[in-house]
Amino acid sequence: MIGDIFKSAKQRQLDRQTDMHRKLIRKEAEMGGKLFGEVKPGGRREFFCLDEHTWVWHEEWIGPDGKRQISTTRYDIRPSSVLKAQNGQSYQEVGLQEAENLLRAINLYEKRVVDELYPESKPAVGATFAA
Amino acid sequence: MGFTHEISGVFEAARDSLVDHVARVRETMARSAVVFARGSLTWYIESRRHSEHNYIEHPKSTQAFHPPVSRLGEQIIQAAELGSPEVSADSPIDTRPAKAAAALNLFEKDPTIPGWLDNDEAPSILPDSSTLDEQVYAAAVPTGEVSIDGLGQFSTLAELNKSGPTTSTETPSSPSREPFGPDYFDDLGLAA
Repeated sequence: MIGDIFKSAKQRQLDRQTDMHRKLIRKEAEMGGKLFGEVKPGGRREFFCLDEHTWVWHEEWIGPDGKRQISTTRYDIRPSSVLKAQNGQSYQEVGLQEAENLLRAINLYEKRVVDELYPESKPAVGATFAA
Repeated sequence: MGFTHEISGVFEAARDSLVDHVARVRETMARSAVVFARGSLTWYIESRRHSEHNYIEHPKSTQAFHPPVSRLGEQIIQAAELGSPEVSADSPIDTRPAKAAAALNLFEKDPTIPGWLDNDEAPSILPDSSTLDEQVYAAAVPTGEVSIDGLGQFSTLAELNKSGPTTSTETPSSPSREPFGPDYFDDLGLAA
């Protein structure tokens, strides 16, 4: 009985941690999407670090035919290669120009997302995501 | 009321501590990802610039982006000077260790990459001289296909694609829209 109570409390804590982690990623994605300027009306753009080796670009926009278009690109960064899988397709090597731009984007991400969201002073983060 | 307030304070402190913990974990991961990506992409870009389709593989090591490059470079050049029956004057230039050394040394020029500065006190990725040749040729010999280091289970891009993440094995169609194209950078004039 007491074991169940502790188990349940532990599970609740894990759920909360997962939820907070998700909120942080969502916030990073939103801030990351703004690195590249304004999004056109009806569009949406997100760019974020999923884990230590994976970066994700997600974009939605209205095509010339008026239909909503969605593109999700996942970049897998390995020690000796950089691959991408777009819209669930097979992996492809990233081209030189795209790799250069990805590097610039990641440098900007560090400056304008990571440094701003997780400042040296630290306490502000908790206040933002406690809700 | 005082008691309630106190209890409420305890919960609030616990909540803040939990939030802070999660944020720190996420921050550590994100910063680590940035450093890793910067090192890996810099390597990849320099390699691609040298040879658009036949780039040099990086030495296979989990420490790949934190070695004292100057020492590694010196060791590789030494090995090249000593010569090896596996590399002759007729070998294609890309298979020569000196090429790998030159590519590795490019990293010394980028002081923004932590771990890449001259640092003779840092541990070498080469455990001892007996494994030098193996490391040298792992760095120097191009395979012609992408090697998926770190995963262990895939050796080529083709194998990786066979296994996922998609169920489709068809040739990928051209992406409808490339991320990081000139739309986002050149037009906006974002600083490099």
